[in-house]
Amino acid sequence: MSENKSSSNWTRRSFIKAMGLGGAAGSALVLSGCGDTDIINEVDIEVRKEKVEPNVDPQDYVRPGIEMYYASTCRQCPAGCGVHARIREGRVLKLEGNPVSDVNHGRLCPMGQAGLQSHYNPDRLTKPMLRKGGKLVEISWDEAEDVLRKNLGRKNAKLAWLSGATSGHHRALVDAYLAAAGAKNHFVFDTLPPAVGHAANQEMFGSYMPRLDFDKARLIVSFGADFLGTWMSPVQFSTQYAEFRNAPRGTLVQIEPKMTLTGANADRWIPARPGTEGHLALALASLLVQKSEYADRVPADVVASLKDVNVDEVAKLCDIPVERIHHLHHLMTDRSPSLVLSGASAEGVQHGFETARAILMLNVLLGNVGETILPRSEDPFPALAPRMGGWSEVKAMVDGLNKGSFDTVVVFGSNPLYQAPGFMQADKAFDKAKFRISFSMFPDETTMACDLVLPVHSYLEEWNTTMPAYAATDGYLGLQQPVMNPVFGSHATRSFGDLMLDVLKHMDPNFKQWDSYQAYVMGALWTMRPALVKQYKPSVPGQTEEEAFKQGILSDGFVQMKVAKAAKIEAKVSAVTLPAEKANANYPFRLIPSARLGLWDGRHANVPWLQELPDQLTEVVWDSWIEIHPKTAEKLGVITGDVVQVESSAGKAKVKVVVFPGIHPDAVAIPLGQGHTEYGRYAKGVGVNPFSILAALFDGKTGELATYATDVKVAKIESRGKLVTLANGDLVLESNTSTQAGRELVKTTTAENFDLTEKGA
Amino acid sequence: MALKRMLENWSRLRQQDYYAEEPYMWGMAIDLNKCIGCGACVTACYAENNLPVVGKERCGSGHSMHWMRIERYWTEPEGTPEIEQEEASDFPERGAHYLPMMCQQCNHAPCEPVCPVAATYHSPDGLNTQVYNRCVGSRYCANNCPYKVRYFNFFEFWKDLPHPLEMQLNPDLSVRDKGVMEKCTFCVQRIRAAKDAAEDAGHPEHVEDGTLMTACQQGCPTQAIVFGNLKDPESKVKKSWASHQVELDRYEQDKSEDVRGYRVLEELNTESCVMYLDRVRDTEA
Amino acid sequence: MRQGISATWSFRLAWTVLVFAAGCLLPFGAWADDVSNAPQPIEFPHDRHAGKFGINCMYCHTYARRSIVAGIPPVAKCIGCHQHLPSVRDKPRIQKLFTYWEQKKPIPWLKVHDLPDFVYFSHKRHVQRFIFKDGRPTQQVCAMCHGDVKTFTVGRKVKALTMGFCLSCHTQFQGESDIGKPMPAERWMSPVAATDKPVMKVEFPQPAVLDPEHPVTMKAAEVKKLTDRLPAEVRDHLVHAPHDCWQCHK
Repeated sequence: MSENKSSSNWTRRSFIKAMGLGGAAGSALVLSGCGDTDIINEVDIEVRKEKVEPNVDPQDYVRPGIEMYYASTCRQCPAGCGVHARIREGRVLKLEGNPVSDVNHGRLCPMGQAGLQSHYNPDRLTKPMLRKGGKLVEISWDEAEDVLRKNLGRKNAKLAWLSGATSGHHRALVDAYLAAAGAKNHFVFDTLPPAVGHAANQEMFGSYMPRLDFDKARLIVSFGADFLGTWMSPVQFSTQYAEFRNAPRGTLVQIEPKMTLTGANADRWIPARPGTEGHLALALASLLVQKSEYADRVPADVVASLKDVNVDEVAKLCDIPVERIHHLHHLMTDRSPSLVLSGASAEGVQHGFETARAILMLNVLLGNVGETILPRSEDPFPALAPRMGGWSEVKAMVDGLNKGSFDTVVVFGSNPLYQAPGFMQADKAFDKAKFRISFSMFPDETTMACDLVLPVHSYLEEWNTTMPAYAATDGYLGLQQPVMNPVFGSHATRSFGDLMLDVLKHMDPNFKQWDSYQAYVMGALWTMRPALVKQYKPSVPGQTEEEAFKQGILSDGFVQMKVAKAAKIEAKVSAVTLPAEKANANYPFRLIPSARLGLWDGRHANVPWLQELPDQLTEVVWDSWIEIHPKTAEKLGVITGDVVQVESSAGKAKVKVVVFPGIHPDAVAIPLGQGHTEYGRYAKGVGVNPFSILAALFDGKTGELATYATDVKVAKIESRGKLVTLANGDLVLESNTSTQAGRELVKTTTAENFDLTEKGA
Repeated sequence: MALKRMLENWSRLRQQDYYAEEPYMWGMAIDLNKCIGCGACVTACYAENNLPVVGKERCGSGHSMHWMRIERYWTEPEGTPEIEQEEASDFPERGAHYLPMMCQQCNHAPCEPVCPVAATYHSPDGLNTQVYNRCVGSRYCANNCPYKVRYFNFFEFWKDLPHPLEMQLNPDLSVRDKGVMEKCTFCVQRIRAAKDAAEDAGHPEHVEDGTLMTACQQGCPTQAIVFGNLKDPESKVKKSWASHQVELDRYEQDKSEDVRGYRVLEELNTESCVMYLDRVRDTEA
Repeated sequence: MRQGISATWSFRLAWTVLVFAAGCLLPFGAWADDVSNAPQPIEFPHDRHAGKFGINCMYCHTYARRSIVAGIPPVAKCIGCHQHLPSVRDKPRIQKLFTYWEQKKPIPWLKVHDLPDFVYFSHKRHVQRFIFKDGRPTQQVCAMCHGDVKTFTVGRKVKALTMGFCLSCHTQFQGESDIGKPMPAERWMSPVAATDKPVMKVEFPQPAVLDPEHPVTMKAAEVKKLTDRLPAEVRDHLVHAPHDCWQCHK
């Protein structure tokens, strides 16, 4: 034994000490107490090594050591939740929900929380780029603005503009620009907003999204609407769901081929064979119309059309015990009012529109219209209303490009080269445009294929307004303000609004009155003030009306516009006929490209927190997988961790298996979000992209892509890939941890007992 | 030796009035009827507490640093026949069982007596502390924790944090280096700040209920998490504990069958400060 | 030799700590805290501002009363006064100051009182207590940790600012009983020499938490019960021992 050995044992300790992590480290070990003052100087190594630089001028947003909150609006998905951003020393550190916002009531989902890592993402673009000789090279902002003006600052009917779901003043500005440029082609493409459902709602209720009262419903029957996870406005629906679950507790029945987050919380989860939800809805309707009190609510021809439905056959078709259908019918008649929802898995088929109508018809039969389905009033400012877009629009753009109708393409907030299905060959169509411009924060697939790349501010750095995809109150307009200086400086990124306003000024002299997008937005709001519910009066002496107004709306984080009283909601029902499902012998399984709260449709794959957030159902992290029911897995001879090849008529992909009980045996599910070929260090090269193998099938009525209609075959190619789940914190190769091993970790009680005991509480 | 220490301490801690004089005892109630398992709490915790992202490989080696995690089970514990699947089904027709799991802040914490350097001990306001600058990384505590909520920092994650992600780090608490144990602190930095504010307001012994929220509680979309002072009879959490007949200082609750409150692994007599409320399912559906 | 480790554990520890301690002390001298000779960008004369003109510390370090940090004044604050003081305008220091101002650049001060990152210290609590509640003179209170600044030019670290240093006060000023007591001058009027020794040598006793027989921290009442049996002089220190590390470390 020697001193050498003993000191080598201590290198780590000394290191910690040097790192300043072991203030009283030595003394702690010999248990001589914290107060030992003899060993002192280790912590002093930092003296005069760090700088402390005060501001030149005092800034009211920098108060050393004191936190401040700014109200703004989340743009991580189209839901538009209100946020409070916590600021210290001019940096945003945490996002919380805005408690006074009617959208999210002070709550936030994982994606909203992780907005910080989009904002501080190391892969954000910081320099404009221009394609020179086939390669993107960095250029100065002066040059970039010159190129931008040269390409956009003129009349051009052959210009195509592609946005993600858009609303508020971004939408107004883009529309104003397109009007000035004489271009008519504003395409909006977002993958998850339910375009088919919107169309069906519009036809039946005269509004693309009537107001839903979850709390009032005693029973919710959801046909694949993942309202807790990915449907429209998950946080808002979650807050309403919490009310719904208070005593007297509402009951949730979820019908879908693959369990979603909402399905995981259902009192009864019913795995229907994929694509048969409409038939099930018609069967329920046919049972309901046997009683006149229900039948009287719909026209006679609708009742007549339901006569031929054979419930036993439907049960067989849907692969559900026939008693289950009768029981569901019993529940629906027993518990009123109820609420029937139609969502992605029901609508994403070739007859999606008809399916949605069949499902929504149940609401009419059950008398829910006017009870849990409430009317919406007209938007007071239609120019600011949300435009959710859909697959038909990206298809129209791709077709236009292929036909040579467009020479210039501008992309903002959408990523068609990743999201558009492989068969569309959006990349080849894109190549046909003469000049492509992308406003983007990140080097995503589309951006890297563009000729001019303009790095824009994150939503925490810019001014804007957003109208939520779904708001409980009509006329809600969320405000965005910069909560901190641009992370990379204003010489690196620019606000999209400022860039476009600058272009617009040269085309439309009306816009010369605003010297920045901030002035444009605030000016617009100031002129809107007679139309607002709340009036803002000066509270401190010397404050002008306008100052008081601006301060008032910015500290609220949103404005509420006056709206006309909504007209009574009236349903128009007509008969629904659904074609029989045809089985495909070559491709025996239905592919479900499932979206999840976290990576969403892939836009958040570059956020490490969300990559590491386990999937809520399978608990897998940092990966793609295919969910296969145990019975099917047995037939295919695969276990969790095996690699299979999934092949559709449009393409194939290699992916790892997760044997998962929450899926119909005829279906397989690959989650959306991964398989990026660009998009920064956290996303690139992780997993597979199910969009790439979707087949060219469309909903007949709306022209939307039938995302849940692709049939595939699955074959094992390799054993034991590396798949990481947090189910037990280890490589899981056999199966997921699923049992509580007899321990009472999660106890369950009955709703009956709950209602009995919780009434007083 | 370890056993002797444990027994000595535990016998002393078993005294009923052990925390009687302190004004605070922080506790939590989590309603599994409302928890939807979305993971907002998990991400909120990452943002608030400077938790490192460890990557796929290290997740696979069990090195994840999620102080708060959502456990997901497919089956019922034994002995709840009325909820169990009526028939042998191939599907989880009653949905999943979600359990948000983080440090339970046990008042009889199994992790405390085994720490050789007293880096983990009990604070007077009922928190199970973890003092990083005392910790030498023996990992005894994690091995003794029945809830498996202590996470050892094996790597220098802060060094791998690419610019500008480090700008997000919360300056109110340490960024941990390798070689220390970490765990949920009930957002101690928020507790201390709330106490500080209460002192400024002139009532240092009383933090107003509702002014203090943990990060997970604040983010939760369904408000399934309630946090507060169990010593304050007017606090929401205390009322919840009382109405569900769960009390501290017990290893077996003297409560009626129908009431939903329970503490996970209560039979181990860890005397935890987190009460869960039974998940609920409608058996008629 | 691996199996011998536990047997020689305490010996090795003692040895290592001794060597380490000696190693640390040698190059610096006992209390040579101001270890870096890197010059500040401007040789700011605290002696003129705080000494000759008696400006209150909190006039420039405005955040001390309401934040965890005292704050370094923004350049605009310096200029606010100095643009009206033509008499010193030609001094090189002031010229330098105006250069920063005209270039709109912050002054890159070097941090002198830098606590380790795992230490939480609130200026507000101390200032509120000693200045606003007890009514002690500002300079006297600041000097408790920062030394007699009115005799310095640029700030220097003259107090150890170690945990033992903190506790040497906290054993005395715990609780409410001492409010209004005059503070002994030697506690803050420390000599400015670089080898400033701690005024009060505190042989801090083992906090109860480290009692190997009772390794769980006890609350104050428990500690009292135990320590009533101890000799009075030991007891005095012990009952004030902090029993919550998370007050300052988190």
